Amino acid sequence: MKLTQKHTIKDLTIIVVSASILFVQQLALSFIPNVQFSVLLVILYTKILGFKKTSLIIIIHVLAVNLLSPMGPVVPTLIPAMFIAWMLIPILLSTLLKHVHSAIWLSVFGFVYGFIYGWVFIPFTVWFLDVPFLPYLIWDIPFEIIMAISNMISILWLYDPLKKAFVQQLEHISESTKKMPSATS
Amino acid sequence: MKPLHLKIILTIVVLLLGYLIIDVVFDRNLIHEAGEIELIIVDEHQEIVYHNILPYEKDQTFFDLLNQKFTLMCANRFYNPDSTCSYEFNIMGQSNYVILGIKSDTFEIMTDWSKTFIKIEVYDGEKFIQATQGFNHLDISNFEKIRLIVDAPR
Repeated sequence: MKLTQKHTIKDLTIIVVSASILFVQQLALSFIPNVQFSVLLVILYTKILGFKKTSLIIIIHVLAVNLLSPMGPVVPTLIPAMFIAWMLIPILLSTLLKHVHSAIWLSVFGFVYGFIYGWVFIPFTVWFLDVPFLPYLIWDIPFEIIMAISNMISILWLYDPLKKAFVQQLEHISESTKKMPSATS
Repeated sequence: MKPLHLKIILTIVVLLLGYLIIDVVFDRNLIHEAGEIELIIVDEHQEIVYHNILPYEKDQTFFDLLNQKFTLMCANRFYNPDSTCSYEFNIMGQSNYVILGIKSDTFEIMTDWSKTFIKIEVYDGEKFIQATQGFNHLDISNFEKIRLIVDAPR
């Protein structure tokens, strides 16, 4: 039986490299709370790689952040919240916002998502960690605003050039893959 | 309007909006008159090791009050004990000491941050609830009682 594994290996490599970039930039910027390029990258991955691959990248990212972060693991009860929050991006961009492609509108989505990300954690924090609801809601607002602004500005200015560079790299990888001989088993 | 101009305008607007909300709405200046607060300290065995009413001065922070009354062991940037309390953690422009231990002539509590920590609870008039601010920014004039408990993360 002849099996072509080129695409599988190529896809796996792209997923792993994309997840690594996501993880490393988040760690590199973790000294500034809620300032990162994660939302920009997840939006970019969703728009270019699609829902399935982005979902796998998010699974790897959530696991990596919780297992390998030098700052220690996140509280285990918050892992589902983190996973749901990140998965909202590919879900929304593959359904309701499927036809949104402009950097300006995606940056508006990134701004709103800054608040949504914070709100997803609220029920988990309140129920599992017994944190009072209202003070938590109020004191999380500055962090949500910082994330919203960071998302909006990063998407506004970096989405288009990153998309161009990423698409070029993917095309380059596709051409290289075509030249490779098919793997057989 | 050209996309570039729109991007510049959106960037300026969003930065101004964020600055206004965080700096103006969330005013963090701690201003209060002199008063007194009931302080309860509970050790790792859930025994009350200190229970007293402490007077505080105008605009004095909770950290300053504790530092004045007790010998404190703070955390350095690596969360290791530092008796000089020379390091303040800075998050979004808010400086905060992390206190690992409190010592007096009659008692001593010590935590290691990873397995145990000092939980701050404030009395809301009916019951003790977890404080949402740390030692530097907790407005002691808003509460009658504060309880410090050696607790373990869940």
